Amino acid sequence: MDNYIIPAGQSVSKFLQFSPGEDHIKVTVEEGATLNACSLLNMPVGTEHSVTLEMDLMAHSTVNLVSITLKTGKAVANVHVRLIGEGADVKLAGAVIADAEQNTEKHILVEHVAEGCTSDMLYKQVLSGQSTGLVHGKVLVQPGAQKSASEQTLANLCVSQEARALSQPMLEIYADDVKCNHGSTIGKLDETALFYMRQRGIPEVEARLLLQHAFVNDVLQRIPNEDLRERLSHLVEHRFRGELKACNGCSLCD
Amino acid sequence: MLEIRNLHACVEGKEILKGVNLTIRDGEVHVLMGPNGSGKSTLSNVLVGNPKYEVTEGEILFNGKNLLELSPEDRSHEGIFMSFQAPIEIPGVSMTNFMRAAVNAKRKYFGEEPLNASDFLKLLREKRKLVGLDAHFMSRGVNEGFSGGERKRNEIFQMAVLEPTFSILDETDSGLDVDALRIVAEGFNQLRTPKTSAMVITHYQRMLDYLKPDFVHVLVNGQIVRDGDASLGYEIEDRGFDWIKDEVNNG
Repeated sequence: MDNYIIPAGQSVSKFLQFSPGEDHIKVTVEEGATLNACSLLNMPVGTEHSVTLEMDLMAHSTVNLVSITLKTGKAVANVHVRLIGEGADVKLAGAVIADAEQNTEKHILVEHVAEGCTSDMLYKQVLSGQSTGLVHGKVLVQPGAQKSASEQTLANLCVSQEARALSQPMLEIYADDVKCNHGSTIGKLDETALFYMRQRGIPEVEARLLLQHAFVNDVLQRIPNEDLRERLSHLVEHRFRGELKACNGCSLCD
Repeated sequence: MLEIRNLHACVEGKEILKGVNLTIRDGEVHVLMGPNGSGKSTLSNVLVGNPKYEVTEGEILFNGKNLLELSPEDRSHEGIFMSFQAPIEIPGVSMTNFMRAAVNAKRKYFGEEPLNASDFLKLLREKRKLVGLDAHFMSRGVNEGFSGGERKRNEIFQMAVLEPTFSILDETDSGLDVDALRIVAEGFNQLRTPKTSAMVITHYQRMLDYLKPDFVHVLVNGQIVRDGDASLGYEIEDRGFDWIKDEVNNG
C-alpha cells in the first residue's frame, strides 16, 4: 500500500500513470492542504488493472482529482473519499474511452462526515464496439453532516449498438439540512449536431470525432495545469482517431 | 446554377414534396413563401442532403452535377450553404476549431494545403466584422450560450467564411429584432456577387425590402403554385395565402 500525506497548508500536484496490476493508495490531506491529482490509464488491451483509492480530507482541505482511461483490458477502480474535517471540498472527475471488448468499472463513494463539506462528481464515458462501462457513484451524508452540498453527474455516450453503459448515481442522506443533486444520462451522438457539421463541410468521420472529444472536454477542463491538460487532450484525440499506442512502449507492448 | 425537376420527397414516410420544379440562375435571389407545413423546410433540407429526408422521385442538378449523389459535406464543398432555422448548440467544440475543420476540409477537397494559423485567424477576424460578432464568441462552443439573434448572425458569419455560391436562408429572419435583422440582411447583401445565388425562406416584408429578390415563389401542399417578382411577396403580406389556395383549388 502506498501512503501519501499532504501536509497541512501545503499545495501538491501529482500525475500518476498506472501500469497493469493492482494498486492500493491511501491519501491523507491535512488541514488546509490542497491536492491536485491526475491519473492516466493507458494499457495494452489484454491487461488488467485494479486500484483502490482511499482519501481522507481534513478541515478546509481541497482535492481535485481527474482520471483519464484511454485503453485497457479490464479496469476496476474503487474510490472511497471521506470528508472528515469541516469545510473540506472534493472534486472527482473521470473520462473513460473504451472500445472492442474493454470493460471498466468505477465504484465511487463520497462520505460526508463533517459539517459544511462540498463534493462534486463528474464522470463521462464514451463506449464503442462491445465495450462495457460501469459507473456507480454514491454520496453518503452521515448524521450531523449538516450543510453538505454535493453534485453528481454521470453521462454516457454509446457510439455503437453493442456498447453497454451502466450508470448508477445514488444518494444516501442521514442529515436534514443538505443540498444534493444527482443525474445520469445515456445517449447516442447527436444526429442534428452531426448533420450541422457535415453541412459546413466537415466530413462525417471528423465530425463524430469532434463530438466525442467535445463530450469529454469538460472533464479535461478540470485539469488545472495547462500543459498537462493539452497533452492529455491530445492523447484523447489520438485515442478517438485510433492512432494511440498503448502504454508508451512498456515491456508488454508488441 | 440549380435545377430542380419534379422533386418528390418524404419525411418519416409522409410525402411532403409532390413535384417541385424550380430553376435558379447565377446571381439570382429567389424568395420562397408558403403556409406552415407546405414543404419549404423540407425542400431546403433535401437540397443540403439531410439524411432524415428521402427523395422518392425527380432530380436536382447543381452546376450540371447530380446533387442527389453527393454527400452533405461534398455539397457544402461544391458551394451550397444553409443558414439553419434553429442553429444547434455544440458544447465543447469551439467556434475556432469548428471553422478550422470546415475551412480545411473544403481546401482539402480542392487539393489545397490547410490554411496556416495566422491566415486563418485573419480570415475569421475579417468576416466577424461583417456581422458584428465579437472575438470572444470564437472561443465559445458552437452557438453555446448564444442568444437567438447571435445564432443567426453566426450563421451569416459562417456563410461569409465559407463563401458559398448558393445559399439557403431558412427563416434566418425569424426571432430577430429590427436591428439584428438589418445586420443579418446587410451582411448577406455584402456577400452577394453576380456569381452567387440564394433561396430565401421568409414570412416578412422587411426581408423583401432588404433583399430585393428577383423572384418570389409560393409553395402550397408540396408544389410551387405561383411564381412572380417581389410584388407577389408584398401581395401575400397584404392578403395572406388563402386566396392563392382558393385559386389553386378552383383550377
